[in-house]
Amino acid sequence: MSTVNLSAEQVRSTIERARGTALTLGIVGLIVWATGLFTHRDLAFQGYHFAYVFWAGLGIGCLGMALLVHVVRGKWGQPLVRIFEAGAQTLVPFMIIFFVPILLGMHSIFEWSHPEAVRNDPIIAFKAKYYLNLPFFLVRMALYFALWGYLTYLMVRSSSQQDAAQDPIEAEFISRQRMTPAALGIPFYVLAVTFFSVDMSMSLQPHWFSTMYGFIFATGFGLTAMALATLLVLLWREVPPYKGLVHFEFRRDWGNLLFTMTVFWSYVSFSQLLIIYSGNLPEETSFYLRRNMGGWHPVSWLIVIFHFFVPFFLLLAPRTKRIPRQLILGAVILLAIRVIEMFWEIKPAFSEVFSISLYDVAAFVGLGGLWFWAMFSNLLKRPLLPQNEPRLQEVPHAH
Amino acid sequence: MQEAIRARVVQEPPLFEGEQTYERITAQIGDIPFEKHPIGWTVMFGLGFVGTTLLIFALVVLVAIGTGIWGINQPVAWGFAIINFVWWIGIGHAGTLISAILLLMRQAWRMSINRFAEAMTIFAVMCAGLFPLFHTGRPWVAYWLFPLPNWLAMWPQFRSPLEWDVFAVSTYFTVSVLFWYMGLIPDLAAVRDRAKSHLAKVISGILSWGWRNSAIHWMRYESAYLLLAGLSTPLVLSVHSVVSLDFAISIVPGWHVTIFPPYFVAGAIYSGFAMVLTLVIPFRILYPKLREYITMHHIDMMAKVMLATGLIVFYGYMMEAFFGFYSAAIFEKYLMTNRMFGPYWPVYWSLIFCNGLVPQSLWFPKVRHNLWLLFIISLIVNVGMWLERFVIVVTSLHRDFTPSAWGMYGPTFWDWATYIGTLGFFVMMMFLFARFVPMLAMAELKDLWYRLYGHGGEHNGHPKTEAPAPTRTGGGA
Amino acid sequence: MAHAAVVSRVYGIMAEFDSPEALIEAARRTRVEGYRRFDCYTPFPIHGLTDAMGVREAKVPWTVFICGLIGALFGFGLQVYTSAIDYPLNVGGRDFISWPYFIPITFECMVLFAAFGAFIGMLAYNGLPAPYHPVFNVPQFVRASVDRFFLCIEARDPKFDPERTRTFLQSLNPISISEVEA
Repeated sequence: MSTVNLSAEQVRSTIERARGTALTLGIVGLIVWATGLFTHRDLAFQGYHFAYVFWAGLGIGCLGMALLVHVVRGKWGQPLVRIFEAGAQTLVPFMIIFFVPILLGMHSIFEWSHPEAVRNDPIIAFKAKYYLNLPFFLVRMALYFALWGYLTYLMVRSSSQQDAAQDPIEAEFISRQRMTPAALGIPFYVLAVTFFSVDMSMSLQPHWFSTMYGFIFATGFGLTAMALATLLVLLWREVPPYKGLVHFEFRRDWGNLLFTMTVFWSYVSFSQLLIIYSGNLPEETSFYLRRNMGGWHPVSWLIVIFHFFVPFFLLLAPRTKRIPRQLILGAVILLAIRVIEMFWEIKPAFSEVFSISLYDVAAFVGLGGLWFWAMFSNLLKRPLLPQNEPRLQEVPHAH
Repeated sequence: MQEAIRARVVQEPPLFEGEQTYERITAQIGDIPFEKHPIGWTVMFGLGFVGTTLLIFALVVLVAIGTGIWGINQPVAWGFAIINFVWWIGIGHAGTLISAILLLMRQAWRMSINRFAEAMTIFAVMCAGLFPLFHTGRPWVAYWLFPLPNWLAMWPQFRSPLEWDVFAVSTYFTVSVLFWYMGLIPDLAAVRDRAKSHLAKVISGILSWGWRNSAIHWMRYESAYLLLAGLSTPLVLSVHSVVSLDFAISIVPGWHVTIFPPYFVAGAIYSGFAMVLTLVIPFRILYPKLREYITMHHIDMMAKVMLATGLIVFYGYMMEAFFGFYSAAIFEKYLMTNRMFGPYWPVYWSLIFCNGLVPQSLWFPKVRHNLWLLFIISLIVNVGMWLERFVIVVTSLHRDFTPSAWGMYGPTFWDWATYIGTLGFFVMMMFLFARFVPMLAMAELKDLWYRLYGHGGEHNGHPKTEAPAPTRTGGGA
Repeated sequence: MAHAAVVSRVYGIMAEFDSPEALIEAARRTRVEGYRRFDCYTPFPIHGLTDAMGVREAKVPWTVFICGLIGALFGFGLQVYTSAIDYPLNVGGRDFISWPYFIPITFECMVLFAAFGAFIGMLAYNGLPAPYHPVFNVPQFVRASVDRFFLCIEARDPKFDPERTRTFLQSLNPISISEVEA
């Protein structure tokens, strides 16, 4: 029993064209970036690091959202879940291959990898001894990607089985069976995201630490993925198989979820700021000090305004969820500010003065193009909507 | 074999046991206030009353002699009072979560436990509020905490989290009462229409404001109710966040932790759900008809929420331990060592046992469907969350930066009397509530029954777990 | 003369139904028929009923939104006035207007004001408390809070006519029809 006619999926040609553009952009971007390796080695690797954390974070966020959809089995997630799964599939092997430049650029990126920093600074020395050293760093990275790859594999395999199910009971059975690995996976997933954010971002300023960091990153990654998936499905809303599917109830749920995640992100970020601001301890304030000086201050305010106030009021309004173009606007704003926010998390660790180098942009576009190419390729391998999914076939209420 | 598994998997416990009609729902729940109460009610109310008496006695002695009768002193000036305050506030949070957040998430299983859980919230916040109030030593000047113009031209210190607490807890209490009372209005109208005695008719008539079930009224009512839910959701997060900031705003190691706000909120919901289970399981025995509405499905969902929030709490413990080490700061590292291996080590490890290990058993459906086990687990979790606050308050304070200022803390008889007294007060209030107020939200249950089975369909035992949208209006929801 | 006396004595005519579907259909037909001053009475809120009645409004959400804004401004203003203007207080060298410290109370005031807006707004727009209302004069009406669904066309509707309205309601196949005394 198949519910969506594959030949009717006109969106495939759209995706194929977008995939081609993405590949071109990706290759051009990476070539431009690679020229930097010969002229500005440090800058190039630092730009690459930012791009890597953002795009890997998007894949990680996609995995988290896929797990969430499979645990709660809500109706809202069904049109988006294939995008989440395709995004999660970029982690292995694509993101592992593209980890190599980080390894090559370790010394340009991580202060703790400098022997003289370790010698002269007791705190870095302590951390380098037990945690922030290359062998252990690699072991941890291997563990994170193994976990994420395994979880992705389980989810994709199970949802493909559901596509091929013979009858509704079998489909329901497979869907329920998937809940357990998804639910068990979430705690490990969150731990992996936490330590990934510590290793890749927090350790750029090796003195600084904050227990909230994992929450901020996990929410941010999930929000990026949710905004992207919402945007894509809304852009394709007039093309089969999405045509006629993206009705008000879905838009309301997606808008509300984006709203909730934005507010939660703001809440955890503000809590971190407030606690560090009030404690006023030098080892903690270093993080915000950097981001409030040397031209970074306006960026911080940009984030306050566009990561909280604008999406808050935009997504609060019922009107936004009624008019698809307004929700598209919301998703675009969120995606843009997520990029800026990630830049704000990482770049000030390299540069006390505000700056954007050509290589930041080139690496971001290059890796991003390739990421989209990989994601779209994964997406095209299977039907764009889950098959045999009763939650997708429930008749929407009239509005 | 495969078939057997399938049959079990597809058979979900229903949201209602047995065949219901609108009449039956009204009669079952609405008549409880008019019926003779079970003997268990008298026993429990009596116990609660004795506890309340103990509470009053302990507070009178406290006011007469002073806070010196408690075990607090330097360096641990925040002992039982703050532990119990945080514990009670946390318990309250499950009520708001069930009423507000689950409403916004359109979870059908909230409908039959929300009223009960909201009542729990209100009484728990009452218990919580007593502690800081009496900890000031002079509760009769508590109004100084509010920004009232005065002769000294002094204002409260708005950069202090203790002042934020005043606003957060009083707002929380007010909004919880409003939310609860608003939910009650249509049900009180139903009681008014059923009441046989004149007195009951007059009282419920006044309390229901002349509600007449008008469709236009319902429309505004639903809109307002949903908005209150939308407001309560961030409110409940903010309240326990502010409570956590009481600690985190300082620079005491073990208190100054950035993850505290969400970690406290998760802990609050976790302990609150444990308390709901602790209450619901005996209430189902005491009032067997509740079993038709609070089914194993509800209990299963509550256990799942407990598991999920318990995992977040455990994540918090791990983060504290990891960053204590990763910070490479001498005080942070010592703090963790002292918690794990210092004089209070049994408390820390009991806490890990209660909150880290025991809830993992909830992964198994067998455990979630065993009421006795679940009851015991919920008690353990309640204890565990109390221990968590003990660890945070006492082990952080008793050994801080200067070893010459170190000390030990232990509760006195009066500490225990006050704490046990609030437990009694809480039990007494819960049983009074069960005696005089419709325990479940009748109008919402009827609405749910209609949504699930009402459209000409018959009760087939396979309800959708996701209810349709409560209303089409409503701002941020 | 006599006719006017009858009209002033009657609040409306009420029909009783036994299912939400029947009521929604009745409400829709009443509206199509041209009646505007009528109301339905149901034991629980029914999805789609106000749409069928042709009633739409968003007064409560706007009230809540505005109350929330006022609350937030009040909360922030209160703290700025007391801690930076009226009695500037230096706490740990922070600015007088140390906004991160002011967020929690600003938020609480926002919620408090908005919640009162929702509660009082709902009661006020509904005209509650109402110590007396004619619909309660109908004996069957006690079941409006249990299991019956009522529709009442009010006498102040311009199209109201005791005979024709009754005949119209009869055509909707209700369980019973009663005159509501004012």
